[in-house]
Amino acid sequence: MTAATPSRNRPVDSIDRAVATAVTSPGTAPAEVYRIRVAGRLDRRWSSWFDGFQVDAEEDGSTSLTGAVADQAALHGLLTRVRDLGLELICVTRETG
Amino acid sequence: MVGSLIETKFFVPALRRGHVSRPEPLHLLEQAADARLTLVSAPAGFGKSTLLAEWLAGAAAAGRGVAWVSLDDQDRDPAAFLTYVVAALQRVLAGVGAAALELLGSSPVRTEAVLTTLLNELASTSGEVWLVLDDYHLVDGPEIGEAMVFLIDHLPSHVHVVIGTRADPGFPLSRFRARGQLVEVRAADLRFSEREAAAYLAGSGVELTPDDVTALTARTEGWIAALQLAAVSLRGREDASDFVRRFAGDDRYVVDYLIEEVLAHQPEEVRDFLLRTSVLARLSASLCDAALSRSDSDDLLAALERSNLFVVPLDDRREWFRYHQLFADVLRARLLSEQPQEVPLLHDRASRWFEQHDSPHEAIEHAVAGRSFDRAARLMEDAAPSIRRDRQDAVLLGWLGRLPERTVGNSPVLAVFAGYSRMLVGDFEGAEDRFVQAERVLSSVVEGEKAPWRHGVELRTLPATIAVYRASIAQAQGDVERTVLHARSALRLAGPSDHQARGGGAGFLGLAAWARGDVAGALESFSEAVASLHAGGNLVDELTSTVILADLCVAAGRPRRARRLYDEALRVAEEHGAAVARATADLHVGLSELDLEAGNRDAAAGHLQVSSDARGPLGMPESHYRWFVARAALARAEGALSDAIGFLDRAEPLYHGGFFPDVRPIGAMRARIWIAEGDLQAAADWARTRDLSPVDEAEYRREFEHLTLARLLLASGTPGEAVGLLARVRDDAESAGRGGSLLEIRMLQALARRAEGDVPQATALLAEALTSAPEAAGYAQLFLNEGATMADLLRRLAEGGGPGSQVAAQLRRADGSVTPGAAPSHAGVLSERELQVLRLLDTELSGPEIARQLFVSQNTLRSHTKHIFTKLDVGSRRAAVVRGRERGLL
Repeated sequence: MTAATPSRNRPVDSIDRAVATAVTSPGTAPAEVYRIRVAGRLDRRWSSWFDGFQVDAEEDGSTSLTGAVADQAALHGLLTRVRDLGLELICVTRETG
Repeated sequence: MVGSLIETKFFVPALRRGHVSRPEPLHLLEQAADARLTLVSAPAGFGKSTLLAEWLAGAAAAGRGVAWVSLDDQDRDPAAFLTYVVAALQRVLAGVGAAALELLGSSPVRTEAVLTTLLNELASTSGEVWLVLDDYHLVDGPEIGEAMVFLIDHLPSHVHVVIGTRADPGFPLSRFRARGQLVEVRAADLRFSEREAAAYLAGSGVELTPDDVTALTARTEGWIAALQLAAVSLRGREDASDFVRRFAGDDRYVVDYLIEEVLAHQPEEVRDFLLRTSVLARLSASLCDAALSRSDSDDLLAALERSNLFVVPLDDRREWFRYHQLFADVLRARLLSEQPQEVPLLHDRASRWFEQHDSPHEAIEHAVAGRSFDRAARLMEDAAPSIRRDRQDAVLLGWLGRLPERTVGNSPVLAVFAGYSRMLVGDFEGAEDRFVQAERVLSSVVEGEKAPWRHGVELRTLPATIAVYRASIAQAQGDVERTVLHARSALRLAGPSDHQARGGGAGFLGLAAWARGDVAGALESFSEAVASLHAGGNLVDELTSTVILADLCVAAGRPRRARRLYDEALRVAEEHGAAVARATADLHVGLSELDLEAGNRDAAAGHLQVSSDARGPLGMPESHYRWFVARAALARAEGALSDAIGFLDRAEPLYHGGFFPDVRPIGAMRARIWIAEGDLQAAADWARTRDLSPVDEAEYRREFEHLTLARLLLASGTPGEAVGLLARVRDDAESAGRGGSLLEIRMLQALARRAEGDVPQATALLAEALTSAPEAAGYAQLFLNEGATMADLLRRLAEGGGPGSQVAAQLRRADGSVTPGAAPSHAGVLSERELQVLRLLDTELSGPEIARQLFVSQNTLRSHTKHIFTKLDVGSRRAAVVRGRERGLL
């Protein structure tokens, strides 16, 4: 849940934050950073909906969502949100490892 | 669970004003109305539910049944999912579902048994029915997927499944496609064409030029949700073309852009209302008032509905609404980014409202969503007793997974449940850790201080509950001593009205006694356990335990007492009918075994028939290994030895050890038949793989195998080796009071002496066996199975006129080759359904009227009637009624 995440301090670089979270939560596997590209332009404000992922407009008119996920289940949760908004999925890539 | 079903989920969505009929996709659906599976699969906002509602409004008008369920993510648990499925069907098919719901109330839920029961009942209905599962993507997963495939594969031809989903379900669609069992409607079929878009916009009061319509359709790609939003913005606008041009030239996410437009034109108050209420999965005026601390939500909701702003009514009374999921997501995302601090407050107030309105499930959902975990824990503690009573353990376990570890650890009740869930998956160490944790937290409360957790019945019985779980773990680990220790402590800790803990404690004491071979002790403890189950209103467990009690009676040499238990249990079961069908079927298998043992093969066969009737035409669910064991015994008694082996082969994979000692291993039963067939090599191979030897020490666990080995030794012509073994086994059985075993052992001792050539001594031993057993006549088949040698000994004894001669004569009469067997006298030969039919035959009702009253087809009724005629040996309805009266069935 991101309900309690203050989003006024934006923009926080989501990758740095994700790495910091991974380092400070011992006992969990290191978080992987993923980039999800969807067609069309998404407003920055969607960041908190997508678990704090950074929302960037790409030159070709698509939008990329970048951030760290705790595990594969969390990634699938985000993809479900993409689906539920009726967004067209272009690709998913892993940016780490 | 039945009590807590959310009614609005069964509501077929109402068609909106200005809704555009979709002849093309509708045609796709209607064309294949008889398909087994119809799949409407497309992303959010493509009008799936509306299309289904329109199609089915037509079907319902034509008198067909529509069982609709709007699924939500609470239904991801298979038991919850199936409960809604069954309840929805129950609404359109009277008389269907009670038995399946009863099975859903037992733990662990056996999905296949539930489905089999449901399918059997569906098979006996007539009339077309559509089961509609809308928003199936919210529940799809391996377990529910497997259940759906089983259901679809076995559906009677008049029942159809319709699925509305955002993602293709995880079942083998290609197989259904290849068999022509699948009709699909997909996004491409659902996109609005320009013509449809024009009609829709005109219907919404929006005037556009053809060029504008073209531009709008292209920009939205025929996505209905977007067109709908555009229509809201366009209504009453002078500059429609400008709007369309700006929209078409913008590359933002369509819904973002349009909602921005809509919200920008709403009064501040409406905008705020929309954003804040978006956290609610469903809305009523009272709930919105509470969550937003206002008092005019009634007017606002009505206004939203009037202006077509996102809300979907969930009932006929305009009491409950929800937002269209797509819009709700967008609104929630906005709320989260604009006023994140508001979100937990809104959830908290909503949670309190649901708590006050007796909806613990939704109260807990909101507490968890608002991260009020301690509050959520208190709500779960409150809900625990009713959840346990309804045996919906899975629900509580699902909740636990959503709480942080610390919250679970700080609640004794929840920690014990967490331990129980570890126990179920075999993690006994993890379970024990949780129990210790709960005990520590409980004892850490300082005297006089108020503990934070709820002081309900769960907390009071917690120490006894922990002891029962520990006994269960010890039992699973084969540690008899610790099983007894914990079971005793459970009984000591449980109050007089803690039936669940009392039943558990007594049950495990009984199991421990049984594992030791102490049949008398086991009988006593199990009788207590059954009494507690009865007092706790736990009918299915009570009836199932009757079978165990009866087995113990037989082991103790008291088959008549076993029969009384079965008769009494059947009487109780009859009062509850289909709801306890599975237990009824088990009881008849037990009676079949008793009748067979007493030498009454016809009655034994009758009970097996009734047992499978009770389970319905789909045949045996997995657990019914014992039906095949009883069938094998019957085949053997009839001399069909290879059939008997065949039935045992079918029983074997169905056997799942479980809690009870395996006192009659299937392998040994098979070996006994090989010995009777003369295939001594096969039997010897079996004895070797079981590591059996004539010099083994006697122990109850191996008694049945040792008595099988003794028969092998006799048949192999080495009676001397059997004598020592039999003597040791006899001592063991005698000291533990196992009268049933003792009779069999003494009989084998007589045969051993006979094999050594000492006929007078053998006859004397047999006389002793028969006179010292209180109910030897109840074990006729035991003697018959031993063949000609035993028949000869019995004849000598009977003709000798000395002690035991009367019993011997009685046993000889049970042999069909001596005197014809007595006619079956048990009323249970007619199944319950047949008795019901017989009662209706004794009325003025016509055949079709009876069929209607029983909710069965005329064909089904005819087959029932045929069975009744055969069983009563009559040829007409009148004669059946007369014979029924004679037999006291009417």
